[in-house]
Amino acid sequence: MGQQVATQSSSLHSPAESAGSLAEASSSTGLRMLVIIPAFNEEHSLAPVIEQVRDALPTADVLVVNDGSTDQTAEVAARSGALVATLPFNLGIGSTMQTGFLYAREHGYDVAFQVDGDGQHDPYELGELLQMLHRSDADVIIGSRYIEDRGYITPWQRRIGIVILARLISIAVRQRFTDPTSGFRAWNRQAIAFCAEDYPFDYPEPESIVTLRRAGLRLLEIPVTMHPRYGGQSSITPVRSAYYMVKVIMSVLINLLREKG
Amino acid sequence: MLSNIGRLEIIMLAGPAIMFLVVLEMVRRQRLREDYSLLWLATFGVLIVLALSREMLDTVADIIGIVYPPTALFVIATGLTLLVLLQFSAVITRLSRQNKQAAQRIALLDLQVRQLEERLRQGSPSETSPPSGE
Repeated sequence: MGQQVATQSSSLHSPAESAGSLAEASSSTGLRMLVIIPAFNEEHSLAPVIEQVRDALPTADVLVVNDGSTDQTAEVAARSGALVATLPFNLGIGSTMQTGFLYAREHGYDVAFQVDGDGQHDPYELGELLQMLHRSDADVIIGSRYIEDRGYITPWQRRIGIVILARLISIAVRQRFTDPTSGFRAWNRQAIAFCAEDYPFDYPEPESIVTLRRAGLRLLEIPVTMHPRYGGQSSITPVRSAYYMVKVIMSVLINLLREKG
Repeated sequence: MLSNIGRLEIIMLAGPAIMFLVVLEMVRRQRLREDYSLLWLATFGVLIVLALSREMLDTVADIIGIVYPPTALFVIATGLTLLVLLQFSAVITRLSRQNKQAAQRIALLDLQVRQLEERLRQGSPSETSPPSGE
């Protein structure tokens, strides 16, 4: 418990420094950044997320892709000053994110981020994703909950599922991944262009590691902190987790049978 | 016994024959596209031929290894039906991809329209360059 409090307070301290240096970095390099927030019925958690993102990365544009929500998601997002693209009906997280990639590609953004609308991701850590994108030669940076223990508690059933997926994907792409289901990511231009063309339909995160790697793009995991969600419900129920595992494992294996892109 | 087989044979012939005509009629009225009708016509065509020619049915049953030849009709009908269903799944896959792309385009165009409206409302577009413009 004590550890959890410590990490939270440290993440409250860091924003000022990291936001400041980032604002400088991005304005001096003239990087155009887009934070994509996929949202399905997130009216209760969306406003603080957008606020934190704008605080953490003042020079970035924020695009909420509203996946056919039936609540006030679009209105809340617009009131918070985000750009809002509303899908006419629910398409699922993969196609929702791809809408963001299409926007990023069409408007020539240099960097795209994904931040979930439920408050699980810490927007103040976007700076770390951005710095790693700069410093490393990777095209995609993935925030992992499991590289360092920062007090994130995962139910054991889900932990087992994630470990199995992580092993399978690590073997499949010959690179170690610890948190393949994490959606907290940053993409550079090349990766944006690839994902605008080719991004999985549903449960896209693990599968996209494989498709990106096989397209010759480089990925890198860095440790991040994640929080319990503010509101809303996880889209993953017991029956769906079983389907999730089967679907993802199958698409990973099928991907290996495809010719390298 | 005889009348039983006779009735079965009539049904085996009349069923596919009627369905064959129904499919043709649907295509004529443009209720069914030609390309999707082909697999159906082939299915009913094969069933009609096998119902007409007991010899052929016996041969086919022999090849598959079925002792009672009329059963072969069901096996073949089931097989062809599965083919049609597989074709459906492939078509649905293509349609859902196109549907997704259309929905994404709508979302982005809708955003663009609202941005342009906003720019118009603010006055001349040369006045200030919008933050997310091209």
